[in-house]
Amino acid sequence: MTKQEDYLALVTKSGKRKLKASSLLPYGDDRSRFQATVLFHEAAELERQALSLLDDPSIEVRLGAAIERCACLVLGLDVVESTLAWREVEELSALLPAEVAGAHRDRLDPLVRGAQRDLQELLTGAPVLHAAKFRWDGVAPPERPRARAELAALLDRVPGDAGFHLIAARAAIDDERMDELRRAVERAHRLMPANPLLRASWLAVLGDVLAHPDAAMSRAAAEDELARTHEDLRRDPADAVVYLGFIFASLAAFFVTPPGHEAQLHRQRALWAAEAGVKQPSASSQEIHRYLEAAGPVIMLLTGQTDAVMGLFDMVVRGKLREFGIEGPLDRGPVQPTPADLIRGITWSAARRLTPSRALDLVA
Amino acid sequence: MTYALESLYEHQDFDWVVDSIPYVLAWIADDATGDERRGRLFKLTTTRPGREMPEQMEIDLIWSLDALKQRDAALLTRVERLCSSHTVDREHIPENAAYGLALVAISILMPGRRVIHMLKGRAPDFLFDVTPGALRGVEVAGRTSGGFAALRAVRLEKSPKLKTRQDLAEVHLSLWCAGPPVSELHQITP
Repeated sequence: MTKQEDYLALVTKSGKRKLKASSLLPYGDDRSRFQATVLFHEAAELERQALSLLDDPSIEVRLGAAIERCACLVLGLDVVESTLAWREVEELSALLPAEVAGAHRDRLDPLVRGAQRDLQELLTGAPVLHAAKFRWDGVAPPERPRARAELAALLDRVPGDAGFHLIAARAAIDDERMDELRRAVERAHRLMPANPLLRASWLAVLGDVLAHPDAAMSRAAAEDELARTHEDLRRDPADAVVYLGFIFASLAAFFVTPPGHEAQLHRQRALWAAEAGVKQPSASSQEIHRYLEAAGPVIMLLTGQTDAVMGLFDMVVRGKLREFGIEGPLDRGPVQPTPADLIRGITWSAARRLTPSRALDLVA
Repeated sequence: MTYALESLYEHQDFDWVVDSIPYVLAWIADDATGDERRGRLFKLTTTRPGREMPEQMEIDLIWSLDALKQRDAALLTRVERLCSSHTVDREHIPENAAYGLALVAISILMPGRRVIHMLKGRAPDFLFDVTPGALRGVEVAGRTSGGFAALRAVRLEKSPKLKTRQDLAEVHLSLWCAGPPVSELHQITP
């Protein structure tokens, strides 16, 4: 395809997502609203990609693209990202005559003003979280019930902000509520699919789904998602941390699948990820490569779900089980955890490490 | 002129049509889910720059639910939700319905033209040419009541703004009102 054809393909995809999102949003139920926010985020990203294909676009064309991105993020109910996009609109507008910029912005400006009023209202309604700069670890334990209620109200109003879902993930880790953790991490990942930490977090959670499927996601659906991720990673290499998440999910699939060809397939994929991941850079931590390098030889040992392997995992994960209280006190006798128990213990640990706890300094 | 709503699937890409039609039916049909061929007659006024007198015509918009259901099996469920669910934000129904009806206007009055992009942050809503700096498309609006007077107010608000845009090589206004069923199509530029 030529550059022009690529551009056309991207804007057409973006436009169709916007129409779909516009048609879903009015249904008003949680699922439709969230799906609409995801589609608006995808449209915003496609607009960015389309602009990058243009050779030396004029400031007016760049402003047009920035306006579209900003509008998609406002309509996608994303407080943080829409604010950043709005800054870009303002910067580009300053480079054009006021009447030219104004003609482009006559629809966006009222939209943004409305979003800013909403944000002010949201901040007023969330004093505990606001005081803690939306950092869950900054909320004192006695204040947490109130902070949880504020967070639920925030997520109801602005389900398109990945940052708020991450706060919900931190809260779920503290409460040891795996269903809420899964939902929060999945939503954050769907809103920001290119974020490697969120993608790795989602893969860690997917490992838990494979061991503990529920009504929200079946094991078959989780296996499909894992297979798709494998294909995606083979086609488009990612940050090394994503491979670490993929290894965990693949090993979870290996342990919960009856011995045989399918189980070996998961092991092979985990091995592939250890080898491929170590060649990729990581923006999050250099330690990732040490883990990936160590993972390969361990996976090589996993030729079957033998007692020895379970013993190894027992030893490694004992501490985690105790930490999360999944089994009874160890002094009552030897712990005989199932693979599913082990996977859950590791998922908690991984989620705690992978879920960022950043301050959001929101100002309306 | 008679136009069958199901023909939109031939004249425009599936993705633009399938999500618009439930809104069109929820907005203009008295009994959208009744199992028979139904329709709604719209009086349409069109204008073009340089032509003094507007042209009047009628669009008899008809539809076969069976034919529409063959393209979208969930159609009736979606229409019923829009008409009766307590969670639905009904303010958005005219906006989304007008998108579908604008696709009808484009298909009838600009034969061969296909929508390829949609803008949400600035006008126009639909584009059939995305050449940077020389966009061609249609701005859309829907009003539930008020007839031609309501549409005129929209036209007077939107036209001057569209004329100031240097990056629009061609732009039309497609305006729709459900009660009474009237429509306007204005070519603003060139």
